[in-house]
Amino acid sequence: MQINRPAALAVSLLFLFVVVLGTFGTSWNTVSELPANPADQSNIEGIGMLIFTQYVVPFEVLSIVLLASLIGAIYMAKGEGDK
Amino acid sequence: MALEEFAFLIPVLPALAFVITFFFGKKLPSGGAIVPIAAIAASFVISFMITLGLLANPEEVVSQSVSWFAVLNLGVLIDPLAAVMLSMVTFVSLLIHIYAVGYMSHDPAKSRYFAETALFTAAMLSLILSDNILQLFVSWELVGLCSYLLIGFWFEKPSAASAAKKAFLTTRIGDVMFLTGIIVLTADLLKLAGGFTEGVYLLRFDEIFGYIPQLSALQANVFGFEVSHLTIITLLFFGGAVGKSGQFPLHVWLPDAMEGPTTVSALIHAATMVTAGVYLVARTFPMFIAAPDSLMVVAYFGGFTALFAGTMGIVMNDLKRVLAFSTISQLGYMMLGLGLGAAIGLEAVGVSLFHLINHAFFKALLFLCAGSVIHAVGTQDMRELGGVGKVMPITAATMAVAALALAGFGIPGTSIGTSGFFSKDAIIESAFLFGEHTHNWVPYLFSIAAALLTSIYIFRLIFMTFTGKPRSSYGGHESPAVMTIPLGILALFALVFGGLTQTGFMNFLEETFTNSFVSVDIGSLAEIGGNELVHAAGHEPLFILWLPLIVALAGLGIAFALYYLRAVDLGALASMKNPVYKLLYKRYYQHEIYTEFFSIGVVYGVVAFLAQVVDVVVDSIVEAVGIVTVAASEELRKIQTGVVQTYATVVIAGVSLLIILVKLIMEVL
Amino acid sequence: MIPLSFYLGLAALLFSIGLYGVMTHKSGIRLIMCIELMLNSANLNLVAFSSYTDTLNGQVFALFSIALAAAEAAIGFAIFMAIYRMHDRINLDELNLLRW
Repeated sequence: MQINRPAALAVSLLFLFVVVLGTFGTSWNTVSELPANPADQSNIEGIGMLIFTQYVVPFEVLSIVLLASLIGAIYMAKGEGDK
Repeated sequence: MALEEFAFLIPVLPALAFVITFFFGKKLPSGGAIVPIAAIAASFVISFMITLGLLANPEEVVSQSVSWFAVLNLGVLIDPLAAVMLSMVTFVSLLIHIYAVGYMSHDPAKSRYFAETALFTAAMLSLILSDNILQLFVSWELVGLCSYLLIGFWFEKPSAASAAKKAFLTTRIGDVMFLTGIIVLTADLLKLAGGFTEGVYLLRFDEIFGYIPQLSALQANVFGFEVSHLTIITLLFFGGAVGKSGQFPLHVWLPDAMEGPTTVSALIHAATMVTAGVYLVARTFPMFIAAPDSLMVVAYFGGFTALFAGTMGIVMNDLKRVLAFSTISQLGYMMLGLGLGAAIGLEAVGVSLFHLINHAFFKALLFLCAGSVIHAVGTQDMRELGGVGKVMPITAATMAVAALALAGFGIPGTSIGTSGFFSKDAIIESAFLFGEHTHNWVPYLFSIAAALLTSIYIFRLIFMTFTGKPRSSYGGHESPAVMTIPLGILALFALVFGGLTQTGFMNFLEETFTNSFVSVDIGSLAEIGGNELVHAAGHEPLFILWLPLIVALAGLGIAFALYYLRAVDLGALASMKNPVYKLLYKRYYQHEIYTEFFSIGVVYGVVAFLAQVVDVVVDSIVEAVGIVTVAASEELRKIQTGVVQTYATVVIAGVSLLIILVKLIMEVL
Repeated sequence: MIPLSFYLGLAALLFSIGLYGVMTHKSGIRLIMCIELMLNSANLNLVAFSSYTDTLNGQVFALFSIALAAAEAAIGFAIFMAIYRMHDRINLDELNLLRW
């Protein structure tokens, strides 16, 4: 049973309306000024530090998940035996 | 004393033995019999040591309690009353277990037998030493369950299965009354004590006894009569005792209980189950004496049962059934003895328990002797027996001793006599005292007539079984030593126990209600109940002292003349043409009245009618509900399309609308 | 400078487009593409918040989320491969074996 398109559109727009209203209606607590010079604001190093210090356990878990999904995907995509 | 710390082990050890035997019995030699025997022997040693300690110092009872739910507790109470019961139960049970090693040696399911008897003993021990009425009730039910299992031990026999069912259902009537009594009591106590209090165990006996005057003051209107709550409670308790102890009119299960192995009959009738009712009344005796009329009811029921069962015992042809009716009759004596407390106060507990203990010895002996005969000969119909005495001299001798003890032979005024003589005569003399005091001679007449019947039926059994010529061809041999040694020990006790302990025993038991655990003033309680106590025992007329013996001798003479000398043609007397014989042989048509009229006619009829009503009315309602539900769900399930996209759409739409709704509400507020 | 709300609004728009696709399309491939769109709108939010609060945690999460999206896509396409072998097309409407 397919949702007809006008209904789907209406629901999507309703959702968009609610979320946009929410985002524009909220006063976000942000930094006052983004760094001025775009050239030297590379944060690759900082991200690398975070991944291998604070988030090392999720990172390792994620690697296992990827491996498992890889094996699963190969198994399913390979199909029957030696085709 | 250190040993008293381990009082809780008395029921726990047999219970453990039950578990071990039940699971591993088949792998152990002789069905694992050694485990329960060892456990019960240990329990006996502990009980006996504690009893000895109590004998030296009856004030210091053993009492341990642990909290269990708000105002309830589990506990151990070993006062003189419990101590003698414990010693007797463990001792008799031990002997029966040893005997059963021989008796059950050919049974393939003997490990189940030993497991069940161990549990039975454990339940009974727990019943005896519980210090509150609820724990007593729990054990009481456990005893009932075990009796069901054991009576139906040979459940492949239809008669055994039906006997087990009958025993269970009949005692259930009493149990329900007992439970009702406990509920009424608990409700009243909660009302009187003003709700729950930390650290107070409401249903413990000392608490209950403390509230007796207030309980007695509560009045209720039952069928237009103003009665005290205490009377209601005690009568309900007595209802339980009637069921368990086989008193009229709930005695019908007891003769049928003979379908189990003979050792089970001995266990049920001597040591455990049937004494539970008497024990209950003795344990709550202060309540009974403070309740107007309750003790009179106990006395009348007991006396009537003693006489009533005796008349049926005379005509039974089955060896074990005679003994069953004898048990009912003797239990009637015990109840009568307790009921006479209306006149003799606490002494009644001593008198009654004395008979209970002595009865345990000689009744266990009688059953084990009967078992020995059945084991050797293979039939229990006395018309086919005769002359067994020549084949089995030890069994015959011990059984004769038991018969003398049951009939109460002894010389008044001396301490020479069988144990039954001292205890039964004490009850009869108490009944005389009661009659003299209140000019109500009914209990005395009941008891003296029952004494005559007792003597007749037991000697009829002896003469028909052991003397004369064999009336059918049976093989037979004396039983092995493992069976005859317990017989000998029990015979010794049946002979001398009463004479040795007659004075000390009753004084000891009177300490039950005045000690460190519970102390009641029986005199003032008797006044509440409107009972006047007398303290004039011991100077009855000489004729009264000798009358029980004369009656017993008369019974012996009648039995001798009829069944040994055959002086009268029994064929004419004991035939179905004789209306009295027929009435007795049919057991007053109880089967016809209880089963065919009441059970089948009334109960089954009502149930069948109700079933019709259920079919028509209730079923149509249920079916209508079902139809509506099915139709509604047939439509409603179409909402569940099973398409994930539909679900996603609906969820998103719902969440969005919900957020808007919340926002609007918060704006309004 | 551009306020944060604009990024969030863009993410919401992307999400709604993905949602519309998920609701209407029958083909499994398109469905997965739309789901990726929704997932990436969430990543956009993560990165935006990360920059505007001057912390790097959000960007790390965005990386993790991209990796998980890869795993999800791999599994999803493998399943569709299997379905394709059985049905010769990937029309989710026809997978109604367990429906009433």
